[in-house]
Order: sequence, then C-alpha cells, then structure tokens
Amino acid sequence: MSYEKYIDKLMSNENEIEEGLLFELEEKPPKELHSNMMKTIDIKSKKGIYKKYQRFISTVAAALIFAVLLRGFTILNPPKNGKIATKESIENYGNNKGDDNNKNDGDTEKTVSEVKGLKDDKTSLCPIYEISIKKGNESIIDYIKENSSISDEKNNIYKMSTDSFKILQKNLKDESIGITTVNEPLEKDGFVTIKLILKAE
Amino acid sequence: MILIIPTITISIELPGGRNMENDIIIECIKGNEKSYEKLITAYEGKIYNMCCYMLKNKEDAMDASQEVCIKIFKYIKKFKGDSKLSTWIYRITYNTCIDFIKKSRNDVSIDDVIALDSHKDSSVENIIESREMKLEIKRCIKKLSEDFKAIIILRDIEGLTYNEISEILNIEVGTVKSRLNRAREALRNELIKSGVVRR
Repeated sequence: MSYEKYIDKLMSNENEIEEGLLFELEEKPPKELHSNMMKTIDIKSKKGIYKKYQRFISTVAAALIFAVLLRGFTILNPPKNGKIATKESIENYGNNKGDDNNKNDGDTEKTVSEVKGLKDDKTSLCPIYEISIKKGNESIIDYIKENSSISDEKNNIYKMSTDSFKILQKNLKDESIGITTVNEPLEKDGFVTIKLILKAE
Repeated sequence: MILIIPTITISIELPGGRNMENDIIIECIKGNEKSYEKLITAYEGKIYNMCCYMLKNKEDAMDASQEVCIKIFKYIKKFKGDSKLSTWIYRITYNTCIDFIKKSRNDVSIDDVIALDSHKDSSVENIIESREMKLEIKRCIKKLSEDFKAIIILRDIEGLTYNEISEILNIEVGTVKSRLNRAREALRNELIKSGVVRR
C-alpha cells in the first residue's frame, strides 16, 4: 500500500518522497454532489439569462407604463380646444390682414384685441366670422339676434346655424356689408360663430 | 450579441485521459451546458477532495464545492489558458476554501467533536488496521494548519508538480519545497501524537 510506503519514508526522515503516494486517501464525493452542482449552475444560468435581458425588459416596461400613464392623463385632462382655436384664429388673422387691406372694405375692421376677445370662446371649433356693422342697421342686428344663440354676450359672440348664416350672408351682400373670416371657414356640427362688431353711426 | 472567443492553446488531458479540454473550454465559453457538465464531471472529485480536507465537515465541503462550481461557470470566459485548466481550478478551490475558513473560523462542527472522540477511542485501543490507519492519517492531515494541509493535499494526495503547486498557492517553487518539508514534519508529529506510528 502506497500510504504505508509514505509513512515509512516520512518516519525515516527521507527528504525526497514521491508525489501522490497518499492518493488512496482521496475523499470520494457523495453521489448527490454532481446533481447539486448542476442544479446550482442551472439556476445561475437562468438568472444570467434574466440579467442579460433585464435592461431591455426594464426599458420596455418603463415605456409601457409611461404610455399608459400618458393615456390616462389625456383622458382625465382633455386638451383645451378653445385655446387651440384661438391660436389658429390669431394665425388666420395675420393671414387675412393682407387680404383685407387689398379689399379696402370700410365696413369691416379687425384688431388683435378683438381676436383676443375670442380666446375663451368654447364654440371656437366652429367657423368664426366677424361682422362689423353700424348700430343703426337694425334689420341685420335683429336678424342675427333672432336666428342665433348668444355664446358670449360681453364680446357679442353668437352661434348661428349654417342655413341662417347663408341667408345672413345674402342680406349682408345686398347691403354691401363686408364679412371677415377669422379662422378656417369649415362647417362643423352645422353651426358658425359670429362676432358682431357694432360701430357708432 | 457577438461572442468573442479567445484563442486558447491548451494541451492538457482531462482526468479521463482524452485530449479534448480545448474544445470543452470553447464550448463552455459559448454557454454549452453539456460541455460544462463534462468539465464538472472531470473535476468534481478533485474539488470535493480538496474542500473536504481543507474544511471542517462534509456539509461545508459540499457547499464550497458548489461555490467553486459556480465560480468556474462564471469565470471560465476569463480563463486565458496561461496555466493548466486543472491548476486554475485548484486555485479557485483553494481560494474558496480559504474564504470558507475565514467565514467560519469560530464555528465548532459536530464532525470535529466526533473526530476527536473517535480518535481517543482508537488511540486507546491502538487498533491500526488498514481502514483505521487511513482514517487516522486523514484526521492528522485535517489537524494541520491551512498552509500545510493545502500543500500535503496538492503534493502527496493529488500528486501535482512543484510548479503547479507554486501557481496554485501563488508562491515561489523554493517556498513550496520548504513549506512541504515543514508540512510533512508537522504531519509526522501529528501521526506520532495520535499513536498511528511510534518514534
């Protein structure tokens, strides 16, 4: 037995003892060691895969949460249409100004302050027209008042059906009164919005 | 993701005797679990043996072996082939055992108590049969300091060369030789003290 040889050499104080003489003393690993090792590795490997994609998954999840929150916020706080329309109104006002100068229509007047007066008009999704007439032109004023509902009394803003507006347009044409479009003259929900500007005689 | 496989030129034989370690390492780096299992199968006995001698009990040896296994799995990508794979594995095992010892320095295990008790019985009865003799030598080796234990395991049990031991323990070859002499002397004293041999 090699270990006995080892002991003999050890006891006789021999300096050179061959390597591996105690190989018989090697501890035999238990049977479950291999399966335990592989199980540990398997778990570690799966964790590694998860870690590998963790950043990507986190980013996607964050993006998804952000999208859902944004959607929820949009539903709870819808954009204020009036403000958007007002912006458009101002832009259109700028565009139309040049045209008005060319037309040189004495009956129609527009100022920025007048347009600003439309800012809070909640019906501004409808086309907005400005009609500038003299206070004495009662037939037109009466027609407008009779065939429209008041949206903003302070600013003289009226909401009128498209049909009534067509008749009004005809009457205004007959009396050579100008009509100005403040925003895109699109018909929406069959109504138009009119801002009446009354001038002193 | 592009996997960069380092060029490794190793010509070591697995304990099974096949010159296929290079392929196995490359496969392990690629993440092939079957190759990894082959590697573990080849070395688990060596790992466990060292852990068993270095640590107090078999439970600790099992835990340490598993930890070594995880470390191999984790760091095989960093293995550059500068040394033998076996040397690299032994070094991981040794360092893991040292960490374990540091962690549980104050623990007294049941195995230790049993070992000491059984030692008393055997010394009293002075039974030195083959199996008992082996057990006694094992006990004596386990009683040595960590440095002496490690060098006896690597040289006398595992049969490694001085150079390999020097790489594993990260000491000079000269130091390996002198430490081995001192370790053997300590073992001889232990064997005498335990009654396995007489002066």
